[in-house]
Amino acid sequence: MTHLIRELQKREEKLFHCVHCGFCLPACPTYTRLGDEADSPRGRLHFMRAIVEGRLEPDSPAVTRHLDRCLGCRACESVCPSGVEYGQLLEGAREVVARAGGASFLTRLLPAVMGRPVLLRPAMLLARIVRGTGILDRAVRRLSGEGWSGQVRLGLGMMAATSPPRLLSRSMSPNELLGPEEKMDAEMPGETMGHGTRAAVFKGCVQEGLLGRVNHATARVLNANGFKVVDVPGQGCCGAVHAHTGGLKGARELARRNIRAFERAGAGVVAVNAAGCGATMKEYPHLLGDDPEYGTRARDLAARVRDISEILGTADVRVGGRLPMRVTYDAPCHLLHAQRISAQPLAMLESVPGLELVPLRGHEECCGGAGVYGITHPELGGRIGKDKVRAIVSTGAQAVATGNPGCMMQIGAGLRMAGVAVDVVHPVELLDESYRRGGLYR
Amino acid sequence: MTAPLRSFLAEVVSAGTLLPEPERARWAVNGAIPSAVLMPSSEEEVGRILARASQEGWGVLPAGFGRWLAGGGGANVELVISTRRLRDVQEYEPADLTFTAGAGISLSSLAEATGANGQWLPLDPPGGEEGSLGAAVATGMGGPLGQWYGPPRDHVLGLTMVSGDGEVLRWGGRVVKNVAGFDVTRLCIGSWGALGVITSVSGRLFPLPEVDVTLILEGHQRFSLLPHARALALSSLPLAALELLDPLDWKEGGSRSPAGLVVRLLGSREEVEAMETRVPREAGDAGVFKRLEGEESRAFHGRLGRWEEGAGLVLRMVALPSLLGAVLRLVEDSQAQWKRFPAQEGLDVRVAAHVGAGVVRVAVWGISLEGDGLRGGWVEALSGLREVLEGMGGSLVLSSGPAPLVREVGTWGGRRVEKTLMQGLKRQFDPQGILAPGRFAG
Amino acid sequence: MDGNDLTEPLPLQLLRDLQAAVGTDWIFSDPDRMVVYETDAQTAHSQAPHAVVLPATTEEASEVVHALHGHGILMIPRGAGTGLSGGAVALRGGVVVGTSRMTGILEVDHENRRALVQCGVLNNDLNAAVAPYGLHYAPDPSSQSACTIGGNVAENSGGPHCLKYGVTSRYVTALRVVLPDGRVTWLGGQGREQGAFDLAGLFVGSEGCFGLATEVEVALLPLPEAARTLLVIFETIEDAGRAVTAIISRGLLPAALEIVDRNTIRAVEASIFAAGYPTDAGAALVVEFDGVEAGLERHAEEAARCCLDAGAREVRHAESDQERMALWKGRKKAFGAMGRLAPDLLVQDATVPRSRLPGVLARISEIARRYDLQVANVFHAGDGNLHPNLVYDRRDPEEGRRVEQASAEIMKVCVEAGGTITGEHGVGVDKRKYMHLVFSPAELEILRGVKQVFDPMGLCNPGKVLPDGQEAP
Repeated sequence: MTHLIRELQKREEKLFHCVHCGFCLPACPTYTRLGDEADSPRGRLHFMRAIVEGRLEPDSPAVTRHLDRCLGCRACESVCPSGVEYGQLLEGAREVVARAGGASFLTRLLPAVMGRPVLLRPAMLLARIVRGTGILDRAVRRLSGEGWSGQVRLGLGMMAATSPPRLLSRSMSPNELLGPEEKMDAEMPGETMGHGTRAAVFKGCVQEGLLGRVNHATARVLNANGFKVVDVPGQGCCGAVHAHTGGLKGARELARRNIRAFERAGAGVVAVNAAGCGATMKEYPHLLGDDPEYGTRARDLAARVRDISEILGTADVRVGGRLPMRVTYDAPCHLLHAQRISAQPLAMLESVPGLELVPLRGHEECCGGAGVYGITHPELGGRIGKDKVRAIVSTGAQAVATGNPGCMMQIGAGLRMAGVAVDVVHPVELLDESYRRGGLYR
Repeated sequence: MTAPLRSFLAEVVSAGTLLPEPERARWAVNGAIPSAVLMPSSEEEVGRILARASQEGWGVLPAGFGRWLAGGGGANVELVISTRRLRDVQEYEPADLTFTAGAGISLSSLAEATGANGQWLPLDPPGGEEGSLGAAVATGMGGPLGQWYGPPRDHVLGLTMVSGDGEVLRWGGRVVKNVAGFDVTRLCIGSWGALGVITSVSGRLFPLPEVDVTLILEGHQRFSLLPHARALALSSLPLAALELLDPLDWKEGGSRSPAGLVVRLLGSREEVEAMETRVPREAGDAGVFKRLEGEESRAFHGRLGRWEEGAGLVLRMVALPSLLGAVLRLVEDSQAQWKRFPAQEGLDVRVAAHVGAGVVRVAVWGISLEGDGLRGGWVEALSGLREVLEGMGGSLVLSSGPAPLVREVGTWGGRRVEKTLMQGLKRQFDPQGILAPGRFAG
Repeated sequence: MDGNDLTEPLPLQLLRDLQAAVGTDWIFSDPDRMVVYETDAQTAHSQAPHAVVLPATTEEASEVVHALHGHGILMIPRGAGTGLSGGAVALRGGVVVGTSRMTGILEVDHENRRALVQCGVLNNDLNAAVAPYGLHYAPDPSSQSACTIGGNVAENSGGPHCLKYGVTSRYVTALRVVLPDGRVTWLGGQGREQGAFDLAGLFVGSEGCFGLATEVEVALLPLPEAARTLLVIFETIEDAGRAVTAIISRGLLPAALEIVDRNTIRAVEASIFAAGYPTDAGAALVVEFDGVEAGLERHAEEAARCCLDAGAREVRHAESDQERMALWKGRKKAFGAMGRLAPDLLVQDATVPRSRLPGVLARISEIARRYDLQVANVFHAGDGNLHPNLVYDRRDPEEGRRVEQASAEIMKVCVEAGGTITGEHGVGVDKRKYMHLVFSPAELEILRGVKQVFDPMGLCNPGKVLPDGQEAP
C-alpha cells in the first residue's frame, strides 16, 4: 500500500501546519451534528497523518467512512489560524482512498458521466424532458422520505429544483428543452465597467445542462455592463467532482482541456457563476503544479478566473429597475470558504432597487448539497439540509439566492420536500430581472 | 486546665503566647471558656501547638481577634489559637498589585500599608475594617463592595495554613493566575477554621479610586425603595456598592431616616461624574439623591461596616436577588411576630441588604431569652424563618446570638451538602478532627 | 491503579451497558477510529482510548460513569479537545466520555444575571445566548470560539480580559457533577458561602480528576458599554514590558494588557488573520480599557503616554469595533498561526509576578539561545502570565530533547522569580514533572488525598495533575 500514500506524503509539510488547536471543530457541519472528532477536520487531518506515518491503512473502513462523510465545504479553512489547506489535502487523501478501493459506486459513477460530453448531454436532455412534464414535483410530494425511496425523492427534488423560478419573468428565458446551445449574446447599450473587455462565460456541466438560464443571465448582465461576451467552444466540466472524489487524474485531463479552450478564446476575464467550478479553476495551478507543460498555463487561466459576483459586486455595476422582493442569501461554501468571497454577492444584491435583503442565520454553513451528499449520506445530509430549510423559512423571504448549482438544487429540493414555496435563484438572475424591468435590454 | 495541657504550655509555647488569665473570659466559645487562648508568633509555633493538640485530641478553635467564635459547633474547645501576633506585611510589591501579609493583620493596617502606594484591597466584610485579614478569608463573607469587587474568594491568590496535625502548607501563590494543582485555596476560604489555621494570605490589590462618591436616596420604608434598588441592580452601571438600609443612620447616634438606598461610586472623576448623572435616571426617577464625597463617603461606609456592632442577634439570609422583595416581606412579618413576644416590644430591628448579591442581614438589639416561653418562641421563629428561606432555595445563617439560641437553632441550617465529601476532605487536613470541632463536617 | 490493559478489549457486558445508556449510535470503539482521540491540542502526549462515549444528558452520563466504575474501567472526560496540557488524553487507556452532545443552554436568568448550561456548550455560544440581554460571560480564553464551558471549568481557564475580570472560578456558582462512581450531586449554589466547604470552588480547575461536571451555573456581567483599544509597537520586548509596569504603577486598570513578540507577529501576519502588525517590530502591546464611556479616553491617553515614555515607536488607536475585533483576532489566533513556523509547537504556560517580567523574559531568550531553539512569546502581560512557545520538529529527536530541557529550565526560572508552572493551561500530563517545584511532599500528599476523597478507586482521568513516579523525567 505504501506506493499509494506517496501522494499524501508529498503534502506532509502541509499536514504539519495543523497544530491540533481544534478551532475548526465548531465550523464543521458534520462534527457539530455528530459530535465525533473522527468527523471533524482535525480528526480527518489526523487520519491523514496516521496514514502518512504508516499507522493506519488507507483502506481502513474508519478512514474511508469519515473522509467520505466530509462535505468538502471547507468552512474549516476560514477559521484555521494556521492556514491549513484542508481542501487540497482532502482531495489527495480521497485519491489515496479511492485507489485503495475504498470509494463507493456512486462516487465513481458521477465523475464518469460528468467528464464525458457523450454521456452528459443525453443525460441532461433526458432530465430536462422529465422536468418539463411536471412529474418530478408530483413524485416529490408523493414519495416517502424513508430509506431508499427517500434518496430517490431527494434526487428527483434536486432535478425539479432546477425549474425556472416562479417569481421571475419567463419571457426571455430560453426554451428549457433546448437548453445548452442557445445563443447567449444580446445587443446592449451603454459604456460601463467592462470597457469592451472580452469576457468568456464558463458554462460548466450541470449548470449548462439544467440551469442554462443562469448562464444566459450571466452573459446578458455582463453585456449590459460593457463586456464583450465571447463564445468558448470546447470548454467542459471543470473537474471538481473528480478531484473531490479522488479522481485527480481525470480532473487534470479536464483542466487541460479547459485551459486549451480558454486560451484559444483569448478572453481577458473568465466569468464563473458556479462557485464550485470557480474554486476548482482557481486551484488549477495546484492541480497541475507538477505538469511541466501546463503549470504556467494553469496559472495564466486561474489569474483570469472571476466569480461573477467579483465582477459585478462593485459600486460601478449598472442599476436596473425596481424588483420589490424579499430575498435572503446563502453563501456557497466554495465561494465563501474556498474563494473567500463574502461581501461581493451581497453588494450585488444590494445594488438591485427595491430588493429587500434579509440576513440568513447560518448562511456561512454548508447546505448539505456538497455534490450528491444528500444521496450518498441521506441521513446526515438530510439533517443538514433541513436545518438550512428551517433557517430560510424563518426569514420569511420569497426567494433564496445562492451562486452555485449544487446548492441551488439541494436547497430547492429541501424546500420542495418541506412543501415550502420559496424560489431558489442565482444572484445574477435577480440582477438580470432588474435590468429587464428597468428596460436595459431591448 | 489539665495536667498535660499545663506541662505542654510550659514546654512548647514561648513567652507572650499565652493570653493572661483575666482576658480569657472574653474568648468564650458559645458560652464555654477555653482552657487556654494562645497567640503564637510564628507559623512554626502554630505547627508545634497543633501537632501536640492532635496527639492529645484537644479541640482547637482558630481565631483572629475573637469576633467570630460562634461559627457553629465549637463544643469541646480546649484551645483557641489567635493569629493576632502574625501581623507582618511579608511581601508587598506595588508594581505587582499583590501583597502577602500575616493573617492577624487588621484590614485597616493593611489599608494603611497599601494606601501609601495608592492601592487597596476592596474588601469590607461584616465587622468592619478592625477585623483581621485571616478572619475575612476564613469566614469568606463579602460586604457591600462585593457588588462590584466580589467576595473574599475573588481577592485571595494564595494562603499559608497549618493543618490539624501541624504541617505548614502553602497553597496558591502571589501571582494572579495560577492553576497548578487543585484549588485548595478556594476550599479554605469560608471554611471557618475547620481545615486549618490560616497564618498568612496573599491577595490582589486594586488602584485606589480617584473619586469616592456615595449617593443616598431616602424613603419612608424599605419597600418604597425596592423597585429603585432592583432597577439599579439591573442597569449596566459598574456600581461599587448598592445597599438597602432600614433604617438609615446618618451619623453615629445621630439623625435617622426610615429607610435609605445607598449607591457607592468609585472610579475616575469622569467615570463617577457620568454615573452620578445616570443613577437617578436608571433608578427610575426616584427623587433627589443626597451626595457624600471623599472623606464623608468613606466615613459613612466605615460606619456601615460596624453596622451590627452590639446587636444581640444577627442573621444573614441569602436568596436569589430577584427574590429580595419576598425576603424583605418575610423579615417584615418576622419583625412583627418578634415584637409580639412578651417583653420584646422594645426590640430594635435593623435590616441591611446587599441588593446585587441577594444578601439580607438582620440585626436585633434588645433580644432577651429570659421570660415565659421566650426561648422556645425564638427558637421556633428562627427555625421557621430558615425553613421558609430554604424552601425558596435560599439559606439563613445565625451569625451571632445568645449562646442557647445558637446551640438550639444551629448556625448554618440544613442545606443539603455533600456530607461524605466534606468529611473526607476534613480528614485530609485534620485527621484527628481537632479543629473547630462540630463545625460543618466535623 | 496502573490503568487498563491497552491490549485487552473492553468487557462485552460493559459495552452492552454503555449502549443501553446512550444508544448504539453514540459509542465507538473501532481501534482505527480511536486514533483521532489520541491527543488534544497538546500533541506531545498521545494514547488512544479503548472507546468513546457521547452522552447527551446528566442522566446518561451518570449511567455511563456508573457502568465504567462497576467494571473498573478508567473514565477520561473530554470537551472539545482544545486543552494544552494533555488533560483529555487517555494516557492509560479507558473510555473517553465526550461532552460534544451536551450543548443545551438550559436557562438564562437575566434578572439574576446567571445562566445554567450543559457542559458541552461553547464559550462563544454562551456569550451569544446572553448578549441579547446585554450580558456576557467574562472569562474569554483565546480558544473561546471552540472550547467548551465544561473544559473551562476543568482548567479554570483565564483569558486576556481576566486582568480586570478574573478567571473562570470567579464566575462558576454551581456545578452538577457526576462523581466517579456515577452518583449525581450539586456543588455550590446560592449562599454557598454559608455552612459548607466551597466544593464548587475546589472542583473548578480539577482537570477532570474529580468527576464530570455536566451542568454549570455561571454568573454573568453586564456588557461593558464602551471600550478603547490601543495597539502599541515597540522596538524591543523589554520596552513593552517596561510600559506595562508603567501603566500599572500609574494606577490604571486596563481590561487587558497583551504582548506578542516578533516571532509571533510574523506568524500571525503570515496567517489569514493578519491584523496589520508591523513584521519588523520587536513586540506589540495591546491595551484595552472598558466600562462606561466617560473617562476611557483619558485612560487610553495616559496609557499611550506611558508607552511612549517607555520607548514605543508607534501608538495606534482602534477606531471602530471592526478594527478592534481584527486586532484582537490576530492576538487570539496566535497559537494556531504558529503552525506556520515549524511542524511542532510546545505551548508553554507559566506565571511570574508582573514586576519580574523583563528579567524573566531576558532569561528565557538566553535559555532559548543556549539550546538553539526558536521561541515565540505571547502573553497576558498584565497578569504576568507567559506563553513562551517553543517551535520544533518532532521528527528530530535531538531537537525534541533540547525543547524538553529548555522547558524545564524556563519553569525553574519562573518559579524562582516567585511564579508558578502554569497560569491557565493546567498541569495535565505535561507539567506533572514540575509539580515538585511548587509543592512540598506534604502538600502533594494532601492533593493526592483530596483526589482520593472524590475518586477512591482512582478511575477518573488518572495520570493527570499529580506526579506518581510514572511521568517522564
